[in-house]
Amino acid sequence: MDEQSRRRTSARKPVWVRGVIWGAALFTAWHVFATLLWVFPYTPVRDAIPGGNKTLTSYMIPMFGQSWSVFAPQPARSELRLSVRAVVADESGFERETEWVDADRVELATTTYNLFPSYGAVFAEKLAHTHNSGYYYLDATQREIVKQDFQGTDWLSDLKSELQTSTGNSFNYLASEENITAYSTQVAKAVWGDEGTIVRIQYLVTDRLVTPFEDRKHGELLRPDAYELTTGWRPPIVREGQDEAAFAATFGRWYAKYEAELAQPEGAQ
Amino acid sequence: MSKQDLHSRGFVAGLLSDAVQAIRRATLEFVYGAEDWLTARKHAQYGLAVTRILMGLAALGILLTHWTTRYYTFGAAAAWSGEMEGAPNSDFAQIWLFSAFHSALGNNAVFTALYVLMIVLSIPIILGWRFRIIAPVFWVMWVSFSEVNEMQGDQSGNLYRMVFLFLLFADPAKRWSLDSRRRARNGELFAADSGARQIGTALHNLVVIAVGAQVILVYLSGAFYKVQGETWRSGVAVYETLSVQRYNTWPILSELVVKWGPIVGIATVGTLLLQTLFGAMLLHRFTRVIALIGMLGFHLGIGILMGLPWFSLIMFAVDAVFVRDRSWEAVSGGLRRRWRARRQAAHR
Repeated sequence: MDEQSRRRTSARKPVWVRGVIWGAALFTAWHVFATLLWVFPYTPVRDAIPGGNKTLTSYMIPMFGQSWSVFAPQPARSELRLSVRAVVADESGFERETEWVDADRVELATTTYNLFPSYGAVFAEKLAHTHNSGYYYLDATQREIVKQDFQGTDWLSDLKSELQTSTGNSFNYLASEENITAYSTQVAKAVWGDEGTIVRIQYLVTDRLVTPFEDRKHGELLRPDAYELTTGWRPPIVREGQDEAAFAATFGRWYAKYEAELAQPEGAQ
Repeated sequence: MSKQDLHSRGFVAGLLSDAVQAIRRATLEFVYGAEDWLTARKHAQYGLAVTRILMGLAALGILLTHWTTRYYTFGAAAAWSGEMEGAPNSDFAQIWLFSAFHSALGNNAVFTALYVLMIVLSIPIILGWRFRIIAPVFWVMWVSFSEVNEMQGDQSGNLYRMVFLFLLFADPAKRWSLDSRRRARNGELFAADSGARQIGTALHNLVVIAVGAQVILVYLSGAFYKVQGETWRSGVAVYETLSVQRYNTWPILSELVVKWGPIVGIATVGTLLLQTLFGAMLLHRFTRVIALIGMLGFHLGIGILMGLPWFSLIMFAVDAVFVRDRSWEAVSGGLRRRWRARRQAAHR
């Protein structure tokens, strides 16, 4: 069927067919326009739509929700790490403080030279990032507060009310505190769970810039020191629906592999 | 009023009426031209078929490679995020049908059954078997799966959801599919001149526009955000990204890339240029080839060096709409000829 012979046939189409086609075309035009306004940084052009940003948001969310400011404006130039340790009580009630486990490294080690890493292998790293951005808004007094140890079943609300005595914004920090403590609890149970009961846990997020570009040949030697976002001891949190065995099965397997690789002498790999 | 005034008035009026006529003609030309483009034939038939195949493969690949970590990544082992406490974090998990995976979180057996169902459903998507019936079910289930837990995934999840929704209104199983064989045998559902067929063609072509625009906007807006950053402007952003363990899954290769400064600069500035100019470069065949090969290389780099293979595959899938049918036909024709020649050589 050659294209030329089909040209100029518009007039011969039934009116309802043309109506549907043009209706769909106008809708597509609106959709593309709305997407354009949505994905670009905010401009007053959004106010050209009746109802402005509100109309746009209600059209785009949730179905067309998207954000393309990936690695932008600044790519991750510092590395955030998450380590966990715990106090474990054995059957006789004897309490032992464990060494630190670098949870993010345990997860990320599974991604190295792996073409298809698991989305789950970046959980600790993501948690460290969220924690860091919450911590950023805390003022000096609040940063001292989170350094303290907390106890008891109401410790989260205690922490919340203490943080609210100062002026810094603690909303994001508190949201991440609960997640990161619950995650760290699972890490502790996966690693030391068979030694006894996890009495309390402590997590530590560190923030370390990468070696400046011009010094990259010197690698870690000229890398700036790590900055510690110190937080105190916390009671374990187990959230509703948590499948501890499934967490321990995966994290435990990764941890065993990570430890085995660390134990190998340098260059033996 | 002087005679000359009157004369010049007539001149202006003539010009105006010419202009009105010209605008009217141009508008009609546009309307008929656009309608012709929309209804004469389905565009990007192979392009959208490739989008369908690669998106199906991405789904299958994600599901298979996460099989051993499915509870850890998506399921009840990740309940530390509070996903199973109170209202779900994702809007979708609160909408009927899209909530299937979320409501199965409490039961590993049901969760696994749904997971296996998704693996099964992705195969007819890749093969293009009964696309009209299976695709909507697959899409709803896929959205439900990818929104089950807010902690996992990346932006390609959003792109997948939107682009596959568009595909439901197009005809991505017209080529390279089992459906196309059946249609060749049994004929099409609607007669060639029927209104339904014309509307179907127009919807298909509007999807081509929507997908194409979506891709161009992804790149362009990405570039807008990047140029706001000092490290992108100074040409070292690629070094910094590759220096962080999360985005450095192949250290030996990354080390090679960052060793020599100019490569870092070219990759950084090249990313900005390619993302900014992508849409404009599509207009001419010569620059289009450069843009598409550039993007292929760009995503290959991201997929391998940075450990984001599914993100890259999904981007490949949507970039495919910009390769013309004629080019895809040439590729498949060339492959077929070589295949036959090899078979004949083997029989000899």
